[in-house]
Order: sequence, then structure tokens, then C-alpha cells
Amino acid sequence: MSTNVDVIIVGAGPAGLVAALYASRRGLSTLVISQDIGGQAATTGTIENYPGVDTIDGLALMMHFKRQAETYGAKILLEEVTSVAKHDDEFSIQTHVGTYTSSAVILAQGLTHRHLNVPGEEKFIGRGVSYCATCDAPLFQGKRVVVVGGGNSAMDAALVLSKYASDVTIVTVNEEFRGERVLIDRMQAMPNITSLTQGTMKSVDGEDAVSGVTYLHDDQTKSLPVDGVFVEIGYTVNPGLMKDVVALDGRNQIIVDPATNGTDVPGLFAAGDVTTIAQKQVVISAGEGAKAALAVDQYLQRLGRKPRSGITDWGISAPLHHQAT
Amino acid sequence: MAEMTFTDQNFQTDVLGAKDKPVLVDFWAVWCTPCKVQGPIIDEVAKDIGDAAIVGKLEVDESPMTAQKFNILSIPTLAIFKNGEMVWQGVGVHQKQAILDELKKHV
Repeated sequence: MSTNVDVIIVGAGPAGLVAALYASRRGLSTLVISQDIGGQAATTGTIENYPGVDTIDGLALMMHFKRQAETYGAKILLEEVTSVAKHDDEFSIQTHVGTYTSSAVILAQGLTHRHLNVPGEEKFIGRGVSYCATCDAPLFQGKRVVVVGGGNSAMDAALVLSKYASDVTIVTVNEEFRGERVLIDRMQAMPNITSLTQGTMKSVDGEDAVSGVTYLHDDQTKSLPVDGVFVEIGYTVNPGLMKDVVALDGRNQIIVDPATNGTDVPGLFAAGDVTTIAQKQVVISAGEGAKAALAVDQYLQRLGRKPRSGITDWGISAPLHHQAT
Repeated sequence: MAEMTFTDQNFQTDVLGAKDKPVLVDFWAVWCTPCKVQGPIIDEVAKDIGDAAIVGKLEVDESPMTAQKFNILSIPTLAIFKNGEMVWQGVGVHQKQAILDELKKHV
């Protein structure tokens, strides 16, 4: 399968879907390629800080974003992008299904769960290792689990798990738990949560499923028998796609010009959590997506691919000043 | 074929007892947000694959015995059964084409 469009957007979280909305409203043929719809925002329970919406389920908000983008002609493909390459002025995006080409690309694939990178972790994903406590906690009824991490999400996970598991041990590499005081207090009040600081995970152990973990504490190697390992150590950029394609900072984030969302590669733009823009928020990613799409439009006009319409997208279906002329 | 709802009660007959056709099972729960992303993709798989396979969902909260029997510890988990045996298992949200590719290996 081969498709040629004006712009391909990789990722369908807030940044990617808003980029698709703005690009398609500018009249650009727009293709979004993503593994899922909504990214991290879709798996967030309730969102209370998206302007204009008091409270909304994260997935529901993302479905609104998707529908709105599709209204103006953006096409969304659920495929995994395996490579991005540029030849002359054309980008070629490979997925496991086909190859798609475009004049510009917006990378907006967001972040993925940070992994421990210890032996046994990958092997036991789905067999005791989990990155989603709210999904999997009820499956650990009466079992022993360990939560790895020391921030709010780790403490949230420990509290959710304490309702189901018989014993919850929460381990952080840091000297203390870092997060909201109310969570720390609530956690310490739970009789079945044991907390451990300055513990470093060494391996996840087991035969067919997880049976324990090995960790380092006080210079001693210790083992803890558990049935589940919940990894809650934040999010990170998966650099696989972008290595050798675009300039990244020390944390593998795509370096963007904050004014244009441009990267060091002409025609390659980026938006949202995958970039060096510090704040990881739905409203900010949405705005970044819009900026990137408008910058793509300008880039394509400079290439001479699109007539310079000079019409600003005022957010209404037909610009009034245009009708008047 | 219309999408099925699998339970502890019908799993033995409708999944393990299905002859010659692969059976795709989506293990999910109402509290799991990634499962809500997976669900509509499974609906599309059911439509696309037609009569070549049996496709259905099992809610782990309502059918805990089956989930425990197959040691389902993360959801969504997708599994393909053929002639009573689990022949493939995948954890996390899977895209339509990837699921169709797996299913077709067992048609």
C-alpha cells in the first residue's frame, strides 16, 4: 500500500489529533498514523483541567478530539510506525502494513512507560509485571505485590493495590517518597503496605510467572517473594523511531524551536510530550499540535506546494472577510 | 460472524470446544481504560474476519475462574485458542492489522 499526502502526523494523542484538526482545516491532505487513539490522556481517568470542560473522562475527551479532526478530512490509521526517512523533499514513513509518503511530518508520538531495564522484566510482562495498576490491581486479589517507584503515581498504585493484594511493598531508590503529603500519610496508614527507601531493583524472578524480585538494600542483595511487580517510575521517550533521524536532547526528547515546532530537519516538525517543551499537559500538547500544523502549512507554501491563501483559521466554517470580497 | 460474549459458563463449549476455527478472546474489564481502546478494534476485527474465525470478549470480573485458569494478570490480554489449546497470547492494546495477521496464521 502506498499513499502520498501533504502531511503525516505520527501519534494520535492531544498533540497529534489537534495537529490533524488544524492541518485538515488548512486544506492539507492529512494522515495520522498511531498505535492507539488518545495516548496517555486516554488512559487517564478523569481530566479536570482541560479549559471549558469541568470534568471529563480522558478517553471521552480524546474521542471528541478524534471526531473533530475527522470532520475536516483527516484520516487516521491504527498502525505502528517502524521508520521515518527523508529523501530529497519527500518523507517516507514505514509501518508494518505499508509505506506512506508526504511533504512534511509532525512527530507527536508522546511518551511510554519507563521500564526498569532489569533481567526478567520484559519476559514477565503480562505474567506478573504490569505498568497499569488501575487496570490490573483487581487481578491480584489476595496476592503479594511490589510497587517500584517513589512518586505520586507509585503511591497511587500502592493504595489501589492495597484494596486487593494481601501485602504491598513499595520500593523507591530515593531516600524518601516524593509526592503529595496526603498520599504519603494515606499510604503509611494502610496496615498492608510496607515501604522501603533506597532499594534498587536487580531482577524480576520466576519460571512461568513472577515469583519474586531481587533488590539491593544497605549493600545487601535481598529477595522478596511476590506474585506481581508494578512499575511506576514515570514516562520516557522511546527513541527507537527517531535515532539518527532528528536531533534529540540528553533525555531523548526531540529538540524543537518553540516558535515553529521545527526540528533540525527541514519539513520535520514535532509537538507535545515527545519534544523539549517542558510541561506535559493535555492543554499544552493541544496548543503545540496546532502550532506545528500551522508551521507545516507555512513550510509547504514556501516549497510552493500550496497556493498562499492568506486566510487565517478564525475557527469558523467560512472566514467572513473572505466572503465579503 | 456476530461477536460473542464469553463467560465462565460457556468458555468450555464455545472457546475450548470450537473445532477447526481459531477463537480470539479479548480479556477485559470495565475499570480498565486501555480495554476501552481495545474494544472497538476487536469489533472491527470480528467484522473483517467474517466466518473464518470466532471472535469474542470475556469480562474478567464476571468470569474470574477463566481469567485465573489462564493466569491473566494484565488486561487487556488477547488470546487465540484453536482446538482447545491457547496458541497465541498478547498483552496490551493491539492494532487491528496485527490481530488479523495473528488470527490468519491459525485459520
